[in-house]
Amino acid sequence: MANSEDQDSEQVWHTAVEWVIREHESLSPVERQELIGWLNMNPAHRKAYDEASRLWLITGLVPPFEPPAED
Amino acid sequence: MIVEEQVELSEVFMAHRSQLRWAALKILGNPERAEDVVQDAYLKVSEAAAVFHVKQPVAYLFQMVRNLAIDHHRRISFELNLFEGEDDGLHVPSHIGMPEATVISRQHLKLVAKAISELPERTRRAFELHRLEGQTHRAIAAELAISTSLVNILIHEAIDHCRAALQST
Repeated sequence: MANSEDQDSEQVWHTAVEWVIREHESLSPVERQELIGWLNMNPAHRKAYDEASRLWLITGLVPPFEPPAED
Repeated sequence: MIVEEQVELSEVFMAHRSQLRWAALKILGNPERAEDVVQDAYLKVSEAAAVFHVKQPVAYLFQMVRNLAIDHHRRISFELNLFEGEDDGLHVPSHIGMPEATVISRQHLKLVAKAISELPERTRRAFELHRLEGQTHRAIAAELAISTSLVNILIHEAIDHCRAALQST
């Protein structure tokens, strides 16, 4: 691939986030195997996935945004 | 006011303890793990309550237990899968050790909350509907009158923005 390393890592990050999003909506057993295959392909995948999962957990702890009260 | 809320949170926790444990048990299928997750949820919610104003503590606690149980289960089943190459579904053998609880600092909570508050309203709304209300892309698309692919793009943008907020520290 002619991609630069930066583009590659952006792509890996995007894929990792996509998996976390899909996981949140639920994965079929086949999709889960696919995810595991992707994670095993490259340690960078696992790293990005762990980072995305952790971020996901943090965002879940933030209560819904409330705009500052008017009047 | 803040003191009242803190008291309320621990009271709410105690009052709902067995239902919270049950909610975790349904996901994890193991009483000890369920108990650990409920404890972890209480610690995290206490941290979050020190940083945020939690308006609906009961719903919030249940949501956290569910989130953490799913996270916990996911991590256990990955350890299994990565080592044994087989999905054991919801029934995780108890010989697999407890994954370490993910440590989340108050500073990270604040940074992520700030990052979310900075998002354009539509992006933030799409993200909250997905993340906090568990709505599907399709339901969010209908509510916001946009395409499902745009919903997906907005959720990615929200997460990327949160990531950048943590990376800049």
